[in-house]
Amino acid sequence: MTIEPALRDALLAAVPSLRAFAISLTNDFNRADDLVQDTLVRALAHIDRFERGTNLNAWLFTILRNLFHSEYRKRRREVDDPEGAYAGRLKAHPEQQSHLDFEDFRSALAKLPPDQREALLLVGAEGMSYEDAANICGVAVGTIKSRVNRARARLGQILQLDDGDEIGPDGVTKAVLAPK
Amino acid sequence: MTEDSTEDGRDPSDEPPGAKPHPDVATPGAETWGTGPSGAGPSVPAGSAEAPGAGASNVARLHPPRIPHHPTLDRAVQGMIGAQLRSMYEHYIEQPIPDRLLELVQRLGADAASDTQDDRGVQRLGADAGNDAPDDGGVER
Repeated sequence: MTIEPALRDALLAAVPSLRAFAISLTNDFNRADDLVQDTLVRALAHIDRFERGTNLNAWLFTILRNLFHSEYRKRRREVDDPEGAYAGRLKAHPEQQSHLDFEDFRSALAKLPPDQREALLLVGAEGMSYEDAANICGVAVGTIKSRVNRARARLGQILQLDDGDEIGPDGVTKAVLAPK
Repeated sequence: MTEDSTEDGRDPSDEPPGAKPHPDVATPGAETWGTGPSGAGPSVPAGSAEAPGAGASNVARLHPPRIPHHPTLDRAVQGMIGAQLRSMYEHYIEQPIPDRLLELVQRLGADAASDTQDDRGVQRLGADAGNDAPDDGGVER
């Protein structure tokens, strides 16, 4: 088997995104790295099935996603992150650009059903089109849209962003504006 | 509720063609996040159960919908979630790649020049991956 340099470079370039997707899916660094490794191995083993010039990332994400669900079906549970263990593995915490706390968001994302989480990640984080996300997940475009919307709504509920506390008028302003 | 309906029963694909995301939440793939009703719409959120009939308009003015259900805030919340999601994801992308993946990646490079070694490595690692994983699904070409 020979991999041409351009394809090899494309595979290498996909690793950070694959890993980010895997970490977000599993909420676990070790599982994520296992998934990425297995994805690369499987892709390499079946590289002859990949049609040059088509969307390599979509192909790789499909493999990773299917491996994740295969494992998930076997485990039937999500791995909880021991408190602090996850944070300790981060190189540094990201700059906070909102009132949301990084850990709160990560925890909330982990509470989403896997199908909603992957749809949200593919479209909202990875920037894929609904069509590509639908192909990766093997469902209709409308299903992906629904899952993204549900995921978004559920995150808002978990993070209590649907009551106007985090944005908009504060309590004093609301009291002033409230009808007498 | 079917899977293809949204939380409030709306099909997201039924958004009015004029609906545009709030400028503050415009993002790559903005259609994902800009799903709220257009800001140029009625003062009462579209689809709201409180949408008044003609006789109820005075009541609606005296008791306007609660602020949290205002579509602009909804879009702002969506934008906040989207920004946080992308921030988290970018942060993960920037994390250093562990050695074992780097070694695999380096082997990919070596494989291009040495097929024999490549096959051995794939088989060994492939056994770790298990044989019951599904195939690569709908994008096989």
